[in-house]
Amino acid sequence: MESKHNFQRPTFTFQLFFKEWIKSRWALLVTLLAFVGIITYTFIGMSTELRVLGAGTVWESIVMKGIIYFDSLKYLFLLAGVLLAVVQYTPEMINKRLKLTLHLPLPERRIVLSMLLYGLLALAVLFLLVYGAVRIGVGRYYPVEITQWNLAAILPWLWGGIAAYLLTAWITIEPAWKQRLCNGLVALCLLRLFYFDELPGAYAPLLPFLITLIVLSVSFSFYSIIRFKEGV
Amino acid sequence: MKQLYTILLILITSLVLSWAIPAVVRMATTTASRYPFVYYSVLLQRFLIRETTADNKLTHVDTDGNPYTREQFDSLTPLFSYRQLMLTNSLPDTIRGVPVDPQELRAKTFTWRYNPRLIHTPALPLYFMYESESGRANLEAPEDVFRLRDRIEFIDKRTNTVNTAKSALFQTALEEAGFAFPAQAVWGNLSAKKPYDIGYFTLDSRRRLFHLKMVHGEPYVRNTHAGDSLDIVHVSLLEVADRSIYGILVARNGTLHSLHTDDGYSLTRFDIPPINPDAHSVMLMANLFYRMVHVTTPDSLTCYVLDAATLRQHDRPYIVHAAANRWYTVARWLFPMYLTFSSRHSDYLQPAFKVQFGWSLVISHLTFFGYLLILRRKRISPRHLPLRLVNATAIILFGVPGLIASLLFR
Repeated sequence: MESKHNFQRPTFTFQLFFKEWIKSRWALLVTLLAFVGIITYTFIGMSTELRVLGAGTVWESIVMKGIIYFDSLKYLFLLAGVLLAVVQYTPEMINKRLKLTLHLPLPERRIVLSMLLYGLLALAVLFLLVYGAVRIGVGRYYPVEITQWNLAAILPWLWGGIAAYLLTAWITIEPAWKQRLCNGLVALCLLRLFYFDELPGAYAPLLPFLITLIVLSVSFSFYSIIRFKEGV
Repeated sequence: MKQLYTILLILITSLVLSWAIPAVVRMATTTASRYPFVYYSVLLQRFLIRETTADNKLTHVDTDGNPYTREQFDSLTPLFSYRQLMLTNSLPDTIRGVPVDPQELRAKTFTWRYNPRLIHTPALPLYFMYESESGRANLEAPEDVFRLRDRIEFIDKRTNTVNTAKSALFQTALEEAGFAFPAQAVWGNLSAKKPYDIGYFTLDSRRRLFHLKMVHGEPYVRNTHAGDSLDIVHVSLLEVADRSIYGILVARNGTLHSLHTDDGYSLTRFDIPPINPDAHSVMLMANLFYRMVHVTTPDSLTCYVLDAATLRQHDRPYIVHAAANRWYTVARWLFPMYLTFSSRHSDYLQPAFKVQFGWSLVISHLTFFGYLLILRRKRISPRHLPLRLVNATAIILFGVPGLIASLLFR
């Protein structure tokens, strides 16, 4: 009985999640298909290489030159984050519809946090699927060291996608174009930190610092919301 | 709450800009800090310096400033220029009374470079075990790779499975030799393009140095005892033509040692002051008579010349001081503190603050007072005190990046 009762009166948070899902489902599907396409293509390439060139040659070039397979995913994580934030927050900014959302019977902070949380969870699920696919796929052909080498290469890009989502949300919610431009420049500098061309694993000492910046940048959108309410 | 969000924005923007702006200024202002080429003349018994001038001309002088032509330089450095001298039929038969032939000169000539990046780099921990005595002129790529950490395992390239028999053979050999797992480091030359194979040197969990190779399909493991007296941070395997040494060891205390190919793996210490393995680079140029060791620090290049046999100093070192880099001058004025993520001493990215309080701190204080003047008076109220304190901290500590952050978010 209790479960039926909950089903009939779902919490506002879940209603908000559903609203965000309606806005973003097609974008998420497109992103998922793009990841599936590129990963499948990479694995076909990997298998062909081993078949045509032979395991000896391919393993030698990986072990001696540290070659990685997933370069093509580099900016896809970033695009995924930007796209999700755009489809979630642009409709809210058209005709200032965000005002209606903020008038829901929930504290404003909870509303904004729920919207951001939805986006972060959606990206987390998507990126975990990609991470898992790379792990399982590379592990089929190569030992764990080479799998970890490839995973270490994509890890900063993956966090870059999360950062791109939060920063795009911040920029999109900002009501003034001039300030949006300034936010955009700061966001570009921040995102650059995730995309240095370095050896896989080189980011290990830097990632805790970058993740701290990501956590703190959740607050950026609240700054934009306050400015939106002030009618700047 | 807005004030709290503004403070967070200013702090993060200041941090990011304190990396981005100095990085751009550095790109625009940095000047090359190239050192001249210095080589010890066996005939003159002094260092000769070859340098490219600003108008792209090659000059040759000795340590007293006496000029030489390019041809004279070649003649005075036969151990370096022997190929050129052979071309002009002017290679002497004897040097300092020792008969020489080109083959011997080639066999005794090798170079070695050390850079802190060698010990601060992420690496893929898989290796090839070549057959050291295959009887073939060229080394042949093995069918497997091996890992050496908690145990040694050979992985077949075609099937991606562990070769249990071979792994057990090497595991047993390592254990019988007293190797304590897990391995702390493995050094070797992975390339098949080397004159011969000497296998790998590996540190066990007690930081003892073992020699590991494969001879006629069987494991060869020896405790070199080099780790008994040294805390080794790096081993370079050289595969020199005369097979006199395995390579060069770098110890944590900064001493350099050559590891000889005799049965006892004897060590000879290079007679130079200890380097800082985390910050100094070394180039070794070896020839029939000498070992020239060039140590590059952030401030200077010091060239030592050692006797090849004893590794004792043969002559006084020659020092070249680094030319001032324009970037450092600019940075001293503009940025009291800035953030960097990369270092020329490491392949890892790590946040590090560079602090250089001086005139830049005076300028950043003046900048902050200028910032207060352009603020409207109502914003300098007790309510805004926390925000202004953050403005002050950001502008005074970071200079221009802090000012931009404070102007962007008010």
